[in-house]
Amino acid sequence: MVNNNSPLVLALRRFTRHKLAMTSGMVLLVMILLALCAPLFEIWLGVGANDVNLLNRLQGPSLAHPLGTDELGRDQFLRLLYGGRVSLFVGFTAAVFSVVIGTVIGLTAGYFGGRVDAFLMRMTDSFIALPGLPLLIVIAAIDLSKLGLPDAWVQSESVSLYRIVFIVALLGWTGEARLVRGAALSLREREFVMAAKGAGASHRHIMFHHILPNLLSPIIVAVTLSIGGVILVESALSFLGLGIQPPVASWGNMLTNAQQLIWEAPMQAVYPGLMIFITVIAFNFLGDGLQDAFDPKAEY
Amino acid sequence: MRQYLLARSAQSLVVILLMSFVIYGLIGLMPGDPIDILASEDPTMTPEDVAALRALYDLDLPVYERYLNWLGRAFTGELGYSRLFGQPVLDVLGPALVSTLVLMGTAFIVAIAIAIPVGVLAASKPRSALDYGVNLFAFAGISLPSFWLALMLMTLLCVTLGWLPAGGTAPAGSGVLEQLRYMLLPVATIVIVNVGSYSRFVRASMLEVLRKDYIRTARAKGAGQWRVVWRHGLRNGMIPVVTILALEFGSLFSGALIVETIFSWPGMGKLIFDSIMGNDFNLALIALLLATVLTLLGNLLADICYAKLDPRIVIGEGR
Amino acid sequence: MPTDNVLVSTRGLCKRFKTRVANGKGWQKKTVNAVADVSLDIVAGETLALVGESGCGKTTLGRMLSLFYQPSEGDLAIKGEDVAGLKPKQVKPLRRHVQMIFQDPVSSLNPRHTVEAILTEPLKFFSSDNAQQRREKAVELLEAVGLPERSLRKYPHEFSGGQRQRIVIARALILHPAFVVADEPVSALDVSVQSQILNLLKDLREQFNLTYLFISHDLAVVHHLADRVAVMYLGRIVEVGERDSLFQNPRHPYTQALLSSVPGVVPNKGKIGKILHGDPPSPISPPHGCPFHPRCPLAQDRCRQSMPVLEAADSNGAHQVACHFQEQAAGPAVIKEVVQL
Repeated sequence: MVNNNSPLVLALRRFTRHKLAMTSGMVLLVMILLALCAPLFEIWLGVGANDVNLLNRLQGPSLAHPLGTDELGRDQFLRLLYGGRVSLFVGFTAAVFSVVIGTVIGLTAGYFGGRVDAFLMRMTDSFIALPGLPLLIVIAAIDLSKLGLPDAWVQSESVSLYRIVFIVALLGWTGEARLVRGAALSLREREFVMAAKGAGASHRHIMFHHILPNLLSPIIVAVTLSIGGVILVESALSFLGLGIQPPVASWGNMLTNAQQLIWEAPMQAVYPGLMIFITVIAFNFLGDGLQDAFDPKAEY
Repeated sequence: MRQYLLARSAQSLVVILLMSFVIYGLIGLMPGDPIDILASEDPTMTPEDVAALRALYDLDLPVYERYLNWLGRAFTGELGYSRLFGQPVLDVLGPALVSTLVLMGTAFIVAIAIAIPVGVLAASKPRSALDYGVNLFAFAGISLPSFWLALMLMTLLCVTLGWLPAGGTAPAGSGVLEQLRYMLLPVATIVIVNVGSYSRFVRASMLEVLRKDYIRTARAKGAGQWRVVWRHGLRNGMIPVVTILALEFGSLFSGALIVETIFSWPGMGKLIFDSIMGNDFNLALIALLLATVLTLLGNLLADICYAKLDPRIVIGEGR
Repeated sequence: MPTDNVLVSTRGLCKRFKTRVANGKGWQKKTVNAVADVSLDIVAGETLALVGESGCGKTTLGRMLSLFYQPSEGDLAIKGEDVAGLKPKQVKPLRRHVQMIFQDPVSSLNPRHTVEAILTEPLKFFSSDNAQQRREKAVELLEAVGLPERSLRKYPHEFSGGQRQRIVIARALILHPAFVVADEPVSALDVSVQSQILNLLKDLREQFNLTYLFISHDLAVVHHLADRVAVMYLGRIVEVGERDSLFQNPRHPYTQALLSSVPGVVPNKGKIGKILHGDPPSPISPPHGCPFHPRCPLAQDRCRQSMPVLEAADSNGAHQVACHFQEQAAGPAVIKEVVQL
């Protein structure tokens, strides 16, 4: 039997009253569904997302191509859907990875306190004080084969996907670490932590069974909010030619092409950017709504 | 306070040293090889020449030895030549820093000039239409991809309407007005992205202050709404604002990378990007390090500002 | 002094904390003697109450006896086994014999855990029971503290303060410990609920053969539950004795001041004068000599120079007092001042 009064359930019930966040959630749900169904649309439209048709360059919207075609005659609508798959995948995985890193570091620092805390937080502060985007660009530009990775893997299509998840997570955990550390620092003073110690629990048990569950709501909010940020970084890097590599479609690299066609076909630049904007703002509204739901006293 | 400053500076130095090694290592992992590039540009070079050059540039040594050699040279001021520009690295960096400062400084001032009155107004009337508007705009700002916004502005104002130049800087010798025309779009992009968050921040710190007792007292004494807001609230509400802005200032030097690249604005961001993409190892290394140093400096300044402005903060207190 | 069947015994127990104090220019490292030179014996089956003002070190002493703090100095034996110098790993198996009831029933229950998870947690570490057996034991304990079985699936926020404290008590008893430290177990509760919980603690003492260390600042509550009472001041025990002996014939001026503030407990309260002002001195820089002398109406030069030790105040030595002038202090007429707790 399930108890319907768990703190999480109560918070979700409050969340459903938050209109903007609910709408954002719906929008994202639709977007995820569309992205997942991209192959079905390929069948339905009878063309592949990467099918080049030079006779059909830069067409306007039509029944065959709902949003027209790009400079190589590829279907814009399908490429947007596939771009969405990439952005959402990178957003989710990189956000989850960076939250995992941030949580482990923040939890360790906050729970143990003292020198462990001082060292870890100095490290975090130093990370925060680094120029993020330039560093991301350097890391995105490095030649993986020089690291001794197998050539076959380096040249595979998906490597740019994993690489971007890795580097975004590498630099993105600092906010979460601070957040988790602050919360853990106050939670460890609560008497239930002492009670757990009295019950014979180990540090690890206390950290993961007592402190962590109480951090669930800020962590969920942090993940949601950071997905938006990750998608922005991913599309910026792809736009600069350092993220997802063509011919794999991403909203960012679609805009790179659009920039070169800005005199010829200005509308090309509208859709991918709009998709980024809508997705990111929806995640931000969603995170904001979740925050309100978890902490009803806090003002926005 | 002095002890704190020393400790913080020492920490920053350690970070800079560490980062210089990391960046040095990363640059070494860039695609291409400086000697190969030289060789490909000069068909008369023999494999023996290549080997000799490798030895000359220490490229046959392990990375940490190369790094230490480089560090030694860097301390004597020998930072090398930029391959792309054919000039000493420092000569290239100077003008880039200046144009970044011009661009970012202008954008920063414009954004603040809008954010402060808007934020204060929103705070003085919580839950008004303006208040919600500020909030919405802030969300839009942090959610807008700046490169897309730049493209859209360019499409609209340069391509469709033809009012403004699509990038670059004014030709040498042109008047102030002409120079402003080139700056307008990059500045507008940066302002639009940031002004919402800034306003929201001003609003938040104003609200905090307006809740304080002495504001209530001033109100109870019969001071008008405006007097209360501007006289009492604003001054105290500025404390956190200044801090955050100082913090932002640190990232200003490299934060405009995308906007500079799109509008071909010859600043630090574009320089970093071009040097990385153009295999200009010496330039990329120094430009990145400079960006790191400036960002760290900005953070340090922010902390000091915070301490100076808020007498309640005792710096050096243990956590 | 009781000698046979001692469950918990301390000799010269001390706890020091390091802290930093502002001195105008910066921060200075100082040591706080939270508990200083405490020697106590707690006999199996009795309830020893520990009373004193907040900050006197009673919670610190309680946490040492319940194995949460490691003593800085001195001996601590539980069931005759020396535990003062044990490493955390060696302490762990002893925890099942010593449990704690906390003051704040909101903070001492994890809001994300159901009552079942809260109650069965100790069993996970100290028994080989399976989930079903653990649940049965939890239900048993719920019954013992007067809560229905359906509480198992609920979360702490669904209970009132008194009910939560019942859960806290059930958790403390599920391992059937010999010794329970109750740190202000009712002070966070409404007055109407306090007596219910006190009676529950009394009943459970019989049912589970418990020995309590009962920490409180409320002398009325102490009188209700305690067999013996120890009075603490600035980290030291200044008077200890059988409840009735101590309440009716307090020998230490501090104990007298404490008792005179409680209506209906002290027989001679009509003669009490004004309220003693001032806070107790800081344990960071305790006064030289007797710690109570700056507030004591009987203080003389000797009190400023030498520290009194606990000495027998009655024929069999069950009542002990640390005061140079306990003979003069005896009797109702001397005390004119009152400490407000």
